[in-house]
Amino acid sequence: MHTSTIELMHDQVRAIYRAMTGKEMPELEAPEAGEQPPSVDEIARRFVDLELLARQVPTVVEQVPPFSFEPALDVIATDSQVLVDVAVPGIQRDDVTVSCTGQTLIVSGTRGSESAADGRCYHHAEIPRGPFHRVVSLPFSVVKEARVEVERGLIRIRLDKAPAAKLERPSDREEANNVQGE
Amino acid sequence: MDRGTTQNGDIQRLNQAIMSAMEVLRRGGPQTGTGFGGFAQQWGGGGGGGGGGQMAEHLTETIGERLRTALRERLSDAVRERLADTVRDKLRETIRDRLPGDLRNALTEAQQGGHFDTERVATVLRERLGEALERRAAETIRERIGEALRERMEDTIRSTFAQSPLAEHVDQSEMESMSSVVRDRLSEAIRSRIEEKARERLRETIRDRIQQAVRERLRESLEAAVSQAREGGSFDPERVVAILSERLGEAIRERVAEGIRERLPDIVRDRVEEAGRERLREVLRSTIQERMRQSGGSSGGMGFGGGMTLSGMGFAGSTEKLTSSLRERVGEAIRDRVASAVREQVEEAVRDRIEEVLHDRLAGAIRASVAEQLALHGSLDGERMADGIRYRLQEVMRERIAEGVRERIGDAVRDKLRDAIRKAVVERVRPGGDSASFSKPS
Repeated sequence: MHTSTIELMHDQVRAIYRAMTGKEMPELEAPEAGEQPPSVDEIARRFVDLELLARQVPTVVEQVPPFSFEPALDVIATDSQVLVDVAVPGIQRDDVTVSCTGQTLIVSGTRGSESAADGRCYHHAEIPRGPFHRVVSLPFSVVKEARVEVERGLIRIRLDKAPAAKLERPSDREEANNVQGE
Repeated sequence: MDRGTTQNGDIQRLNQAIMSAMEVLRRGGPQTGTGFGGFAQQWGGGGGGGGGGQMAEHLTETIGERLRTALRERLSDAVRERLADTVRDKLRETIRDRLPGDLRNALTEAQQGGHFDTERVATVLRERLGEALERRAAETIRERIGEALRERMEDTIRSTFAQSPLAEHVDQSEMESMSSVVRDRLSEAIRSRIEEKARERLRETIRDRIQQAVRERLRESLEAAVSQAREGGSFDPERVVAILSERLGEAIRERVAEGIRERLPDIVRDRVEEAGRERLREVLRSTIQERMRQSGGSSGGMGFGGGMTLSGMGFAGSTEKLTSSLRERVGEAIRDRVASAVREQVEEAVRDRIEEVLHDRLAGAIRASVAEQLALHGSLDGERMADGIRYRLQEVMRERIAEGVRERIGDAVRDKLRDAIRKAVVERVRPGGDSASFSKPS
């Protein structure tokens, strides 16, 4: 598990504690030397259990943003390209990973936030943070290289259509048929 | 995720933080009560409804899938370990009792037509002995399955609970008590499903294995038996049957026991999966909700239970009255409707199954009895023939009738019982009826 993910999880746990108690989580005793930590899977499971349980409490729902999310997105086709815009406010380019296999595009990453430990107290929190993941079935075959930019809270992914896919507009097909007919 | 960058210290601290937050969630904040009750403050106190339902729903979701998988895997192994040897012992008894008679009949039938037909022996034993072994195996499973299930279920449920979020809310003794409740409620559902299907699913396996054993061992065993029976100068046909029974019996028992051992885990796994799908959520939810109610009651109605139990809202007296009145009415409805439905179904089942047995077996039983009389005594004797026919029909008829009645009664009881109870309860508590006690007192 990446250190930044652990920090985000830790921050989320502190936020839950704060929402429940109105106080900062006290400094916990340092673990004893040589003490074996739980496995990564175990810690992930405990975190998910905590998050699910906490979501049953209205105060937490009000004051702690959701952890992990599926961002909204648009898929737009032009003559030669497929554009995918994914809405993740405050995201940095380095925090995004994009991969494309066949007609499947996978966008994932992590949206961090400013640490809530520095005296910042959320009264209302809706904007999700933490890891995000979307799998998109593209309407056309594309060439594999994707160009990714981050612009005003949008992850903009541009993919070139594969040569055969460029003829898939109905008007293009009619045109192609006419050419063949001639 | 990059495990190379994992840092033990960070993980330790995160774990401590999670535990600390869990503890706060469990208590509903540092200043509040204990157990499930503490949560209620976040939901607007004991009078608020719905919070406990969501909580129970969440825990049910979280635990249900894990428990279903654990039960499916562990119970199938446990049942095989526990039952395989017992079934083998019981098969030995049945083979000892039944094989000489069945073998004698099979040998007689195999000699008709002027030659000895070994395949005929295998077929006759497959059907006749197969039926007896199938019945015995099913009986043994029925007798022992409950015990085998209960033993392993308790461990499985307790360990699944201990590794779930439930462990954050209840102490050890409460968890054990909840495990026992879930076990009792679920084991009955699993047991009845296994009982229902075991015989049907083992039928072909047992018969195939008998046929296979007889095909492989008959010729060699028959030669050995005839040779031994001739020792001493005279030939004793009964000794042939006795030696043959001993040799074939061992082979049949091993083959059949092996087949059951292989087949049983699949049967258990499928039935546990089915019972889990149909009943587990309901059992878990009701057990967790009951626990919440108890928690609420003990903390003065502040917990989830305070908002959910009838007693917490001042319904205790009305509940008693309602229970007494419903008991009478529901009892009456069950007596009338279920008894009449069962009577009809039983009559029909008995008639159908007798007809079925006569159609399938009577001609064969008469033929076999005639052949037996001619072979053994050279003439036909009415009394003996009647005995022979009765012997051949009675077991199968008893078994088929019992099977038919069990099937029909199961459906009738399930359907009519539900209808009778629903109707009696709905009539009793219909708004505007004589049971105003379901509405909240002002």
